[in-house]
Amino acid sequence: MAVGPYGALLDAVRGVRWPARRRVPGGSPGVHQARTRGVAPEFAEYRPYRQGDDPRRIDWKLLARSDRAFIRLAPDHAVLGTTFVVDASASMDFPRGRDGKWALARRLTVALAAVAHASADPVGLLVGTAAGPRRLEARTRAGVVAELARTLDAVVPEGSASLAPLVALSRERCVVITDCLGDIDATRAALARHHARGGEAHLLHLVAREELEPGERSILAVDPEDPACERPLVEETRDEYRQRFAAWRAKLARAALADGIRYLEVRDDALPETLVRRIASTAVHEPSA
Amino acid sequence: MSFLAPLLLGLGIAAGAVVVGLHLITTRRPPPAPLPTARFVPVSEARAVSRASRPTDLLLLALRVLAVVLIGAAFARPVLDAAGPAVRSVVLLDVSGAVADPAAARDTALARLTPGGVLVVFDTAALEVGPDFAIVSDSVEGAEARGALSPALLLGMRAATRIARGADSVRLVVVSPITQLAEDAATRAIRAGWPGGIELVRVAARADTARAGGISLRTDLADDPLAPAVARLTDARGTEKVRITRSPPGRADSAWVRGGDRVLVHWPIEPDAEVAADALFVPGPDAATLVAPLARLPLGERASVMRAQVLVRWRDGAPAVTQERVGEGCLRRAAIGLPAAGDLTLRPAFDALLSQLTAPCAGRHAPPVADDSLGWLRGPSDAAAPAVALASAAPVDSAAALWLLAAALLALAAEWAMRRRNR
Repeated sequence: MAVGPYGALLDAVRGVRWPARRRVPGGSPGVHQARTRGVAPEFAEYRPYRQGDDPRRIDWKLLARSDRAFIRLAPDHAVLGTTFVVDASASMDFPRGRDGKWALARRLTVALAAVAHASADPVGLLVGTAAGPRRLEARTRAGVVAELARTLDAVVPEGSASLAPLVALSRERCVVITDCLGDIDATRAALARHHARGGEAHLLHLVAREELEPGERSILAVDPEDPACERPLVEETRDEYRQRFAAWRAKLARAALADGIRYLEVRDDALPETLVRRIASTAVHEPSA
Repeated sequence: MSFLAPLLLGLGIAAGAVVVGLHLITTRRPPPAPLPTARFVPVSEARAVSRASRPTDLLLLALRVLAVVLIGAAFARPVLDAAGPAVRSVVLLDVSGAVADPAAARDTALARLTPGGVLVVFDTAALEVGPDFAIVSDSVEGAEARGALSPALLLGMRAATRIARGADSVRLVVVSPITQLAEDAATRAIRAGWPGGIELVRVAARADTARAGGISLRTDLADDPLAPAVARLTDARGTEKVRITRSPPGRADSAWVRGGDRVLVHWPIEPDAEVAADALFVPGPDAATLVAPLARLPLGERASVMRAQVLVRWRDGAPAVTQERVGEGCLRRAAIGLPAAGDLTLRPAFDALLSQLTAPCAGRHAPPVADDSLGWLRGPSDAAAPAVALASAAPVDSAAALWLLAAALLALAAEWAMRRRNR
């Protein structure tokens, strides 16, 4: 699979498994435990025979012993469709001059998509851009990861983008990759609804190193998505800026946790392969890497 | 150059350094830079105190520093010290009629004048002149008969305090015969204000060539009030040297006065002139003040009065008696109306007036004062006065201060214009 510059990353995450956090709805056979019971050899439980059941599923030995008809049930496994909702607003293109949030967002998306695809899960993509969402339907075919990578490489973050409507279009596992500086409240509410409907909600909060530690130089900070927002970041205001930003991140994390969203704050200089392993782990909420 | 208040100059320079420091710590709008999390920066004025490694707007800084330093220098009151020798001289040259050889006296005075020194010429008044001033004709026409020390010393001392800056000491030199008429009631008090010795250079005094002679009175009045006074003064045996005429001089009078060293006095009678209490100042060896009911008579055309020499003045300085050269003699006009009755002409002060009017044309010259009686003028020693004593006593004007203030205002105006342009 030709994925260009992502080759080393994909090699690093080869073998990583990303199990579902809860039983998935039944469907195409997959690796994730489903809520339904199937006809797998592994025994799970008995159920009384009802009219309409397949007679071949009757446990004849139990019938002989108990004189009652029961059918054997076994746990089912199904696929977990995964949709990556990626924020391509102007704030993601920071800092300029080096691989920042957007580069990490692309790498995480491609790597996680490869991990999910390796488990035969359909993977899809929704990119929130100022011109409207770019959509890649969730598929399991072989070249979907490369196609996903090409789609992301062709996007230039700019303008403002709404991610909340895209959550409603996603598959069972929705992974939102964003810096949370857009419509985060609406997006979080959409993820909470998605989780309440039985889906798996992930929120990867990307933070640039320069946003955490803006440096000693006095600047007039300008919001790239709102040029009217100009604030002097000087010695007198730097500490309060850090406190405000940290308080907001902590509040967002608590709110996401309360909503059942799997929240992870990620610094843009973190290694993508490390992050993939952490995301795929069983932890519910973790602080920044 | 020196400064009268150097501390203010130091403050001006210190203020300039403060201006430079303020330029390095500027309050200005920081450069814009994208920051997606700008919303978390507290709202404040979009200006920040920043430190610059070197000031921007160098021209603006230069104008501000220049203005501040110029203001400090102006208030420090700079004074330009004239370059020159350590000892400077102020030479007081007598140019009155008492000097026998004015040219020689001038050469003597110029020989004692140092570079940066001052030359003051005086008779009854004093005047500061350059070394190339022209001596009035030695026939002393228009020259006062005596050299007065008081105005000369005053002007000389003032000039000395002016040139004291930049010198170690100032020497005062008097070039004069110093006659008995040189000193008046104020001279010694004025001399006491000079903090050093005075070098006296005695030049030859003009001898009094006045010869005794007769005084004739030509009048139509039977009881002319001048008659008794003239009779007391005249030398009946002498030839007529002075003619007093009460009527306008005729051709014969003019011919008479031109023919020799004679004096023609026109003293008109105006019986209807208004008589009022007035005073006449009579100079000369018998100086006096005549206070009496007198009348002021017209002296003639203003132009002729301006050309004439004034011998006697009223108390308000207006000329009362004038003299003009006529050939070898002189014509005097007395515009003094006498009362018809009274003892005015019997008073000693009137005798002094009449003596002044009947003196020879060249005036009456007093003899020079003995040298050993001029110790009060010379002083305990002839040492020059130290410049410190002179400079500190004199109020010094700093003409440069105004120019510096004007330059500072120009710099401030340029700074304001540049700020407006940069805004």
